[in-house]
Amino acid sequence: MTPLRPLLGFLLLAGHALAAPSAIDDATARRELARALRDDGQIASAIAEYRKLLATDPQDTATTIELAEVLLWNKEPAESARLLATVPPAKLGATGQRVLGAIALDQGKFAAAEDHFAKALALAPEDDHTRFDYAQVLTWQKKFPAALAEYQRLLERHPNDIQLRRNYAQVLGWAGQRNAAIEQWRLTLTPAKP
Amino acid sequence: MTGRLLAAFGCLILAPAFGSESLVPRAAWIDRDTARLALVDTLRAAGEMTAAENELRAGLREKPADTRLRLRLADLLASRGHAAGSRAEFDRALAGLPSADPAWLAYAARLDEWGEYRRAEQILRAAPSDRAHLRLLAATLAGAQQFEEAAAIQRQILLDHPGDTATRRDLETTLRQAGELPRLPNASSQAAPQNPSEARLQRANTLAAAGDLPGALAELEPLRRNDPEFLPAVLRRAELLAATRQFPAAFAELDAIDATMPGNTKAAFTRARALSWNRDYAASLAAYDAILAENPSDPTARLEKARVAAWAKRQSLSQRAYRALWDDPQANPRRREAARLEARAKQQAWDRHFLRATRTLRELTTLQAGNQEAWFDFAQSQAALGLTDRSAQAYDSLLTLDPLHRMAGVGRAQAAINARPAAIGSYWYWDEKGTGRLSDITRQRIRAGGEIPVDSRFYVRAFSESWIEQPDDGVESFFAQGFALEAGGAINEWLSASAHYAFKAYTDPALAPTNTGGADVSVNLDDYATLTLGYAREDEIHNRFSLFQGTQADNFALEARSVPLRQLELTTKFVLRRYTDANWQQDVKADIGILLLDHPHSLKLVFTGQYLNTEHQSIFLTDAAGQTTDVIHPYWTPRTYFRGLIGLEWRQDLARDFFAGAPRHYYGLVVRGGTDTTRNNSISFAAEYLIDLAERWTFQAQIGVERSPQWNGASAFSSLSYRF
Repeated sequence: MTPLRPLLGFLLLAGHALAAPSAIDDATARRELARALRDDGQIASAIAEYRKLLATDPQDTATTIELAEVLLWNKEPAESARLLATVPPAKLGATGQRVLGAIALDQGKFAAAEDHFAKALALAPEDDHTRFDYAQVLTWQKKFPAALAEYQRLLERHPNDIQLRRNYAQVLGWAGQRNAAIEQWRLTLTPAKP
Repeated sequence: MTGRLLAAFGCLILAPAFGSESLVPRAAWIDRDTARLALVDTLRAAGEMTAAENELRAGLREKPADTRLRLRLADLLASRGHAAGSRAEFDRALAGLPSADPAWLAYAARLDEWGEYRRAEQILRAAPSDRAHLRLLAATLAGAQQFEEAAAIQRQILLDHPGDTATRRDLETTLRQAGELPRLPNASSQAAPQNPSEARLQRANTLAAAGDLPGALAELEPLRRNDPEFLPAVLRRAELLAATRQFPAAFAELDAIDATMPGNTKAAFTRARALSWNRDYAASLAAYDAILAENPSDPTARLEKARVAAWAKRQSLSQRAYRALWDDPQANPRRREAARLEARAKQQAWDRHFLRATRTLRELTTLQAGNQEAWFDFAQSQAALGLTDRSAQAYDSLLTLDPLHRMAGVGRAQAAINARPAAIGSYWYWDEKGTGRLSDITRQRIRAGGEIPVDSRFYVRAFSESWIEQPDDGVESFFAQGFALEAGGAINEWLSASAHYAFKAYTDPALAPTNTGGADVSVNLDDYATLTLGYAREDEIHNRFSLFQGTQADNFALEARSVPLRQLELTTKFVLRRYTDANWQQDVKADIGILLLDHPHSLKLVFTGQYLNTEHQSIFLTDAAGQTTDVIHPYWTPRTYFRGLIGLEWRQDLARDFFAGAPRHYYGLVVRGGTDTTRNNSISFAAEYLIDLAERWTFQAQIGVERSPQWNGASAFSSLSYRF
């Protein structure tokens, strides 16, 4: 994460305001600013910038989805859900489905969350974070074989991720696969560095 | 950009992953120590205890000061029953932790499991008086057989928390253990075993509860080799060995426990009890003193010490131990009252005041329905009063409380056998010579018959009898046949009666058949004295003349017997004898018995005085040659006669168990010497032997010899009986 990104967004916006028209329009610059603020953890400021964008173009589905996601981070799932409801399902994309999945989880609707995460993964199979979320929601529904398959797929791609392996070991234990769990726990407990 | 699940179960929210090196959001991270503990738990769940222990030890090598890891190691060792190692780890981990820390509660629970009741109690009494601590304290006290104290705590918890069903169950369990509530058949409160050793121990406990003590021991045997550190099994094995009277092996196990777990309360109690069961009362009392030195207020140790002192016949020590319990204002009030009653009952039974002891024990068993000692003593008192059916019922009550109570089992089994019909054969021999020709006969009686018990406490007997009577040095023998009937028993605690009748017909037609018999009734005057009023018609056949005259006497007897103290026994008997030849005799006899040595090697000094006075003396009729042709009043007819005797009575009890109803085995020897108003110095010797064999057989033999210048006598008796 670089601290230069919000600064760059701000400079783009300022330059655009002061200078002659260029290839970067206002909306693009504001969107970049909002994203930069979001990535920097300045959630409230990011939300404000997204709302300005939507005020300009209420039909901007990409912005709507991004705002919905940030609103969720800001613990406003109801508002997030309200915004996503305005987006046609076909245009939700992977992010929209993932956010809907997270909202469903927040409401304790595990089956719905699983459905949304599955749709998100169908659109973005390489999104390992969503796959982890998917594996977790499967676990919480005690769908251990399916969850373990997701963990195995993730571990093939991230074999050195100790935290991922520990979570996998935990699920193996819950699934009653004690010997496999023991093996996985042991893999994560190599001798400590001096 | 992608969201992450903020992983805390049930609290899901997308969160950005800022600079995370893992795919897993930080909230769902599992640190190294937690991972190690999870591995340990998984290994334990898989039964790989040694691997789990190794993992914890590896963790502790990395972080020796990690209390969490050390406590987990202590818990793991405890779950394997490896008490010594676990206790060391607990002690190290808990040093410095406040007494309110929940780990102390876990430690106390383990100490309770290992029978370290005293230490557990100390920890729990120092902890906050919250419900969890109080519940465990009550369980610990119940484990130490302090049921009154445990129930008091549980009742207090229920007063404060009436809806606490767990404590209500605990209280019910305590009351069942205390015998206040009936035991549940086949009830098992055993949790699922945590390891194979525990599973084996549970199987052994199940066998023991069913009375199969050898089976239980066999179940535990492999653990001696495979898991010798498993303390609960070692403790149980020691208990079972003691219960099966394998005392050397039991003490070897207890020595091993002492070597690794010095001060273990349960082991200390088991040793003290085993020593008492082995009748090593001095060592047992010393063992109780050692427990009391550690915890002077331990009510169980005080009570058991008082009981063992009573068994050891150290009555004053026993009474002092009871008094220490009932005088202690800190002790549970119900326990104090029970101790007072038990002490009183012990004293009354000691003084052989069984009627009073019965009343006290009835009061005690009402107060403490689960007091096994009281039920056992009640059974003894009832047996001493002749109420063998009620004695058996008391044994039944005791066996309901403790199916493994060995002595109750023996007593009950013997009572059941004694309630069955018996075949009896006996032989009696009597020879007397002296007092002129007035005593000159040898008599023999052979009996064969049977006994039918009625309601256990009454009996009816019938015999076929044969007599051989040989007056005048056996010059001539007279044979007779007949039968005898007997009946009797205890009507209640203070009244008993018996009656007998015999018919005898001689083969010589010159001798008339005889009828003899009588009855008596005994009344116990609240143990101050027992009065017996009786009547009996008896043959007075001491020589040829009385044989042919068919002399008999009606005996009107009144006897008073009193035992004011255990060491002193007084008996007085007055008999008014009316002979069938219009003669009367007064016979007054008094005995004073002083107990010099107590059971099982009892020695009694007995002083006897007797007064005889006969209305008409014998008249010898002679022929011209001076030969006696007949005698009027052909029996000994002393006038204003006094006799004094001093005797020593020795009796050694050789039985395996010393309680009423147990198989008997003893011998006795009596030596007496005396003189009388005719200056006829006498000396006599008697011996007796009795043994109950193979549960159903009883053999008894007696001999007696008396020598004096004027009279010599000899007698012998033997009988053999078999209960079907």
